[in-house]
Amino acid sequence: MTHVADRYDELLSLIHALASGDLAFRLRVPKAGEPGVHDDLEAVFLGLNMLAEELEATTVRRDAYQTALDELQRTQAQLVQSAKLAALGELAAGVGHEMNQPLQVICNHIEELPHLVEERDHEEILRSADEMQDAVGRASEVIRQLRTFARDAVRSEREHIDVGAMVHDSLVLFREDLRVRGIEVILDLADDLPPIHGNPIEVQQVITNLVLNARDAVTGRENATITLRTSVEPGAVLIDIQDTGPGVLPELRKQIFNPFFTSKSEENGTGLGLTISEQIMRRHGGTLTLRNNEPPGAHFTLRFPAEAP
Amino acid sequence: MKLLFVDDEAPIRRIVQRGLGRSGHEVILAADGEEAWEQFCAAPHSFDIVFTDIRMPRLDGVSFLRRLRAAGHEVPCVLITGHLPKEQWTEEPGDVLAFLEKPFRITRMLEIIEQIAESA
Repeated sequence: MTHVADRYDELLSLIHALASGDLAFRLRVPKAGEPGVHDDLEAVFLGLNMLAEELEATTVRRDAYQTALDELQRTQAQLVQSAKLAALGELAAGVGHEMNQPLQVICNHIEELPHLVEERDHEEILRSADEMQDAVGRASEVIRQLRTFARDAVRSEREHIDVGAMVHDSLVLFREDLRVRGIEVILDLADDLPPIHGNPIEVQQVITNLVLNARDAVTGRENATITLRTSVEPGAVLIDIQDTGPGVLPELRKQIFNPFFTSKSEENGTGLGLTISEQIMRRHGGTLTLRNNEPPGAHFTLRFPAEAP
Repeated sequence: MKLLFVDDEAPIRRIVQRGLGRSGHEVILAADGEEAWEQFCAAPHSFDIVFTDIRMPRLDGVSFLRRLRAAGHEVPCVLITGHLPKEQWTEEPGDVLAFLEKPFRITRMLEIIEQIAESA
């Protein structure tokens, strides 16, 4: 006959084992017919064993969740990175195109100049000089904008942002692209907007994302137009980006902010543009909303908290 | 030689017309694919070669080329491109005579025209 007192040590061992993380520890429970402890204590032992069992299983599940979560976070970081690279690719292509046009003009003029000199066509020579000057101006504007972009990219801290200037600058790199697609851009920028406080590169990323979405939505359509409007409300600065594309279907309104939701073909859309944009807006204490709009076309509003003067 | 030059940048059109004209070529100009199609259809069999930019408003260069081929016109075409290398061209290879990368020289255009003249 085993006495209850004989098994205190065992009971304590279980408690110590569980407390120190050894979740595989179990109490020995006498089999039927074997001399054992009192029936009631045996039930406690069995209960404790079940508890230990449950604890162990929970821990295994928790570890599995943690692994999945780590994996998810890694994947998410990779996706954000690839979205950034996609944006960079878009930027590089845009810059290439913006630079090629003025370079072409300059290249042809230079090639023609000796002939013009020989022909003593002074009028044409002066005209060439004017056109080359214009071309240099265009190229310089692209480079100026790129410089702003590069400067902003290395700074992560927040600063005062002139929203109107940023909207204007964001368009510079895509002006040629929008023009060849026959897209009209209407800028309606309010005077005397209060500055906002934020990370310039991120705010620019949001504006660029929305403009590129609008561009893709209106490309190939009649009267393709993108309107960018800035305005002020008590305590807030607003940027509205509206296009004359097909708009967002009512049943898709909620989905468009979801990661990987895209209506574009695989090579054109990562499905992360709006997700990332919304995250950025939230980090700035602002919002990104899709308006209920008439007539059809998508209309997004960015709302930033205005900085106290 | 009579050629059709399609580009949406007015200064480039003017210089190319003058430069090639100096070598005795007749250069018809168009600012986009639609205009090019109209110009071409006005005298379909008179053109010896077409130079067209790819990125243009209304109708781009590749669509214009497709329209030409679909209508059975076999006029040699040169695509002017800012970013599409020849290796990335996935259409019928025979449809394009050559790719001209921006920024291009007028002398390079003259070389291509000479090739056409020799093979004719």
